[in-house]
Amino acid sequence: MALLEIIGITRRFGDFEAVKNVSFAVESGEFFTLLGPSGCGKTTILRMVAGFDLPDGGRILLDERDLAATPAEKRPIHTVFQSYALFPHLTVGQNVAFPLRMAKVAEAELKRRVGETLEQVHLAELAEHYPHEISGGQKQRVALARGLVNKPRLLLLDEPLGALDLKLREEMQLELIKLQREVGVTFMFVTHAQPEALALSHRIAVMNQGRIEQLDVPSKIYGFPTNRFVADFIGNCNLLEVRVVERRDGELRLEAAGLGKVVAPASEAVGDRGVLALRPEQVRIFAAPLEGG
Amino acid sequence: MRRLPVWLKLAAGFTFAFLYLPLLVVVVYSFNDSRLNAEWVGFTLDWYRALFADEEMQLAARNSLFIALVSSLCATFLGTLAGLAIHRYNPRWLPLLVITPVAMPEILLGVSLLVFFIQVLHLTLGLLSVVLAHISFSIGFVAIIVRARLAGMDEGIFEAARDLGASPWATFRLVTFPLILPAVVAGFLMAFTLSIDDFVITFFTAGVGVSTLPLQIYSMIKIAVTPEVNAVSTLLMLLTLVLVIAASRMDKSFMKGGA
Repeated sequence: MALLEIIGITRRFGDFEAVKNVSFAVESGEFFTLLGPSGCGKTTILRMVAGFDLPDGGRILLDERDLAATPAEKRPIHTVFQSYALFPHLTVGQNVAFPLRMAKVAEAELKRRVGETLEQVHLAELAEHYPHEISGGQKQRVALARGLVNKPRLLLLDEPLGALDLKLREEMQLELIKLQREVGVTFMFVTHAQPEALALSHRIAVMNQGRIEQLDVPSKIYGFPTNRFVADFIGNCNLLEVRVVERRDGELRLEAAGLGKVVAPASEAVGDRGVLALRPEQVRIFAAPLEGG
Repeated sequence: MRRLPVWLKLAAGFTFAFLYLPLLVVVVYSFNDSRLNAEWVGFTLDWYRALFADEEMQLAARNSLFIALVSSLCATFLGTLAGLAIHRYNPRWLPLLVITPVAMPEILLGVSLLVFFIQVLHLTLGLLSVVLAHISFSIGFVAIIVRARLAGMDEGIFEAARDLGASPWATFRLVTFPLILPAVVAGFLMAFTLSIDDFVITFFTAGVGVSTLPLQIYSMIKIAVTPEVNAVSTLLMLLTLVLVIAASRMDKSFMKGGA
């Protein structure tokens, strides 16, 4: 049974429909990513799952229970915010201890778990520091530790690497994967950076204008985009208008303007028109023409 | 740092002299061993001794402190709530409604409060009416300071608190209040300063029975500016200075943590 089920949710802001009848499910232990350009509705979905916003239609189920009547503070779901949102008046240790205090965890147990979690993100020696005394990368780790310390059923990550520089970003990507395997918490990640999504996720939902365009594993999203938007949004890609001229042994011969004939594995009928997405790394150039065209 | 041209330094010097020389004169003459504010005769603390022996002055000082304390505490409570409400709900009319009394000419506020107390509330003018009047003009100042503090904060931290399991009340107690506390204290000190220095509104709302330090000083200089007036003015000035410095320290020292 899926951990999180989103069933036909819709969210309108005035005349603008930010999320249009979206459904998907996240499995337990999964690293699931909502990927799309800004304004595609991914953050709106995240906020509805967290409980900061309510859908106008549809249902959100966690462990088969409807969350509609559960306020944010009662949901076993934590969020890592893009701005980190650390409490500036509390030390790193106190920040991480906050969710445990709210859950009324006993003092000895609380100390042990804060220590353990800070250890996991390599921040044990910064426990007494205040957020304004540490670097951006370190703040990011504190936010992660704070989100994970109380073992939520689901951790939401809202562009958590967005504010980091490129080198740090790549380091943190690896660490995110490691951390997620280590703690076994289900991650729902929101980003507009497609390399990040491809590198981190078990599955990706590519979103555009309030809808999911394609939901699949990264290799399928990259290798077999189901429509023009996904092909264009993911990776570098040439889009060519083509027409099917012949069908043979499950392969098509296409005619592309200015390119001659191309062989492609697909199932369209002769005469159909479409778009061919050609990744630069898939193109080989030979001195002599291949046998048979 | 760039060196300032001489004329700019001179202009600044003249401005500060214009601002602070009159105050300095009052301070100096409060120690002058002469009944007249004419020439320096010698150093004395007699006027301060006279001040502390003056029972009317004592009563006025006690009244001033009582009014300032009670009115600034009430104004701080209400002003903080107003600041929070403006920040949270941001209705277009609320900031205007809260801040208008701050900009209103004091004489207008004094007269209208007087009419309101007597004709509408049928209140006997006295300590209570002065306290109410001072609360009414201080709320706006506290609200502005608290709201400015809130405006500088990342909205995410309040959501983060909720997200991590804090009820709305726990969020206020553990996150919002500790973060706005410097502004609340600064607002309190500001309200206290405004109250203890106020003349115009107090003049209209005090009636005949109650006197405060500014009213007392005014009634004394109707006869002549005595060295005793200089002495009490000096003390009042000192208190104001301490409060203003404390207020500005309060709201800045924590600013680093607000980011």
